[in-house]
Amino acid sequence: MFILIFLLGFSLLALISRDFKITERLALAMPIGLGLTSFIMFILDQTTHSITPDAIEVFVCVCMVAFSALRLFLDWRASDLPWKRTRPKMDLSWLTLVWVIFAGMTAYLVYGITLKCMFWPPAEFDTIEGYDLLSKAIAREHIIANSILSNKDIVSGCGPRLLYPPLLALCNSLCYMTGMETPKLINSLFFVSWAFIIYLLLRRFVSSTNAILFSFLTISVPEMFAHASFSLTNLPCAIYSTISVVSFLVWYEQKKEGFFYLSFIAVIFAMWTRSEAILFVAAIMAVLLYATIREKKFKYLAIYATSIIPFVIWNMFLKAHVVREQAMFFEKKLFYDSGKMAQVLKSAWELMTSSNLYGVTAYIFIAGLFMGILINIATDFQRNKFVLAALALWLVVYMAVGINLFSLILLIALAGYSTLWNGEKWALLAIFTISLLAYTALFYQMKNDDGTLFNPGGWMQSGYKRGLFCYAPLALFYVATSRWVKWAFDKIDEQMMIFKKPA
Amino acid sequence: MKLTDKSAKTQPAQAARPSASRAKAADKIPGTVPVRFGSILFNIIGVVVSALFLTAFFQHHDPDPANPSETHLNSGYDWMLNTMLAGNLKTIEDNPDKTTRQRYEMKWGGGEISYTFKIKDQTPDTAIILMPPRKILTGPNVQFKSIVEIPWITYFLYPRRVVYEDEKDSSALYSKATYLVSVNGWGLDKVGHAVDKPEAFMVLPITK
Repeated sequence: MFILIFLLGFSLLALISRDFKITERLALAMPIGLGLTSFIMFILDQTTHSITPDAIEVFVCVCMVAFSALRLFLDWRASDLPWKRTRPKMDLSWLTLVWVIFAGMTAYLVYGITLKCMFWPPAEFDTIEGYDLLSKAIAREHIIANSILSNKDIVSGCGPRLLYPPLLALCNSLCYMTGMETPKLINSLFFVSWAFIIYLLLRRFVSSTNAILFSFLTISVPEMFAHASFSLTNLPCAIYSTISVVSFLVWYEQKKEGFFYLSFIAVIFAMWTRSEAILFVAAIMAVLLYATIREKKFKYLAIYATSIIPFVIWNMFLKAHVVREQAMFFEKKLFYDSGKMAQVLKSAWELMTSSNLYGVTAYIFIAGLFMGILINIATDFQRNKFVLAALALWLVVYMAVGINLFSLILLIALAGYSTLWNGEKWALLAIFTISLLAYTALFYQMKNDDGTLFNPGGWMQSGYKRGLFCYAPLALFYVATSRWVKWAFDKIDEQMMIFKKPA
Repeated sequence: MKLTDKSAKTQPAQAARPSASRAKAADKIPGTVPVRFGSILFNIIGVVVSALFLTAFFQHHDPDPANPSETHLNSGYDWMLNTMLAGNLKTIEDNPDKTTRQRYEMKWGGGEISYTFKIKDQTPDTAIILMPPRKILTGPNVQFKSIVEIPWITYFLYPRRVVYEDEKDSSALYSKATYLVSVNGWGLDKVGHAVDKPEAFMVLPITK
């Protein structure tokens, strides 16, 4: 079953575009295959009301054959069949001993956490009283609206975690359908793929040593690493979100059409895992809107706008099938409460900069922002004197309020200004900032009548903390691909190159 | 002043230019692998720097008894590799043949989970299980915490269905219960037959 799912993802990627390298297709095949299979299961549920292993396998096989046949047809029509293409010469110019060291360390970490993941059965509160409970029922009863979702006591006892979009619950149910005792294979498949995906996406922008060092830093973000052995939705959502944002950047900056569609599919899967990924749709669409107005190409904006359809469908499904009391977590009206705002920002800042949770990620990001600004000023003072003035203003703010989320947002704005002013790439910083601000604002808008917003284990300490998984890889990605870091690593790689690049 | 794309202009001049000496060497012997002394030296330096970086990155700090809340910049990475991963890999090595059930008991130390598995063992998949009132389960003599939550116990007993005595008047399942969990004598009068040797914890079929 899982081999078929892998092949399904592989064939879909092959169909979308020939822009993807074979290594990228291999790395992305599993997450994309799992995401697509969850949609197939949902379609089976809605049409035949029977999600059985046989039906899934048949449907997956049919899709796989259809995608492959269509790809071959397109290649044949373009007189470019795969077996007639000239094979590129083997290129080992990327290989350095530093790469070997960091790749080895990353591989050890991934191996260790995969062993841990597979050894321990699911024990997390959210999975036991949420999506994995639903998975068991889907596997046995072959429908999504099963005895668990239709039991009012269980639905109210589980709270919102039972009602998350169904990607992980459906994927987990595949494990139970195939006779496994636990669904932990799914988490391992996601994390192992993630290690390759982040490296290969970085390689689209930077040299091998840069990519492997920042892949290592991404894999070893402590809290995310710990979650690699948990059966929760946060890590898969972060993986899909990162794929969507970075693929969007590949399309936007390098004009590789296939990556736009990969971004589109990945953001759908992110929303099919956790609804909060809609913030990335909003942020990417804001950048797309700018590009649309500038280039007068409305096609991409219109396509991306349709990515929210699954989000709408899931909410309609819940409304139709689930008996629940209307628990509202958010204040219905916009308001300004300086005390609450300060508390949210303080709490968010503490989580981001906690060395126990996110290690040095936030510090690397801040250092990256500073370095970019300062080097721009140093290398072209005439051009950047306004940037220097803005930096001086920021320092005044910093001295008044210290370093916190507020001064960080101002610093990001300053870095954005410097980036734009110097004609550098700005899209990633824009997407990162818009989505992070919106995400933080969501928590500000949450009700705090019973104090659960700021309590230990409350919304900020658990929900917000884990939601930052989507942002940590992007923060590291920003630094890795920033102009001067990239330049420095290019120089280092040039000096360390052992094998010549083939002509 | 206008915003313009200056990236190409401001790009450092040497960024895309291969070193002249290597290009020259490659020209001399086309197709061969140029192993330069410089690249070997740079790789060795790189390895040393990487080793030092990783050592510092994962450096272990024993907790200071005088200041147990002290954290270091690498606290997270230290915990991740030297505590969490090392501890778990040792546990896995020491317990290679444990079943899923035993792994739950290792993780949670028996107690509630063991009783839950007992209920599972003694009832068929189709059972509707009547549990004692939550007050008894959380009372001083029992002190269960999770069993009183219907999603938690349903997760472990599924596809069996569970109903609590507290839901006597509100749940349609109550009257259909086929098994009963007796705790400290509670429920012995509800099973419809005499129990020969009452025990503190029993799973009994309900005779109607």
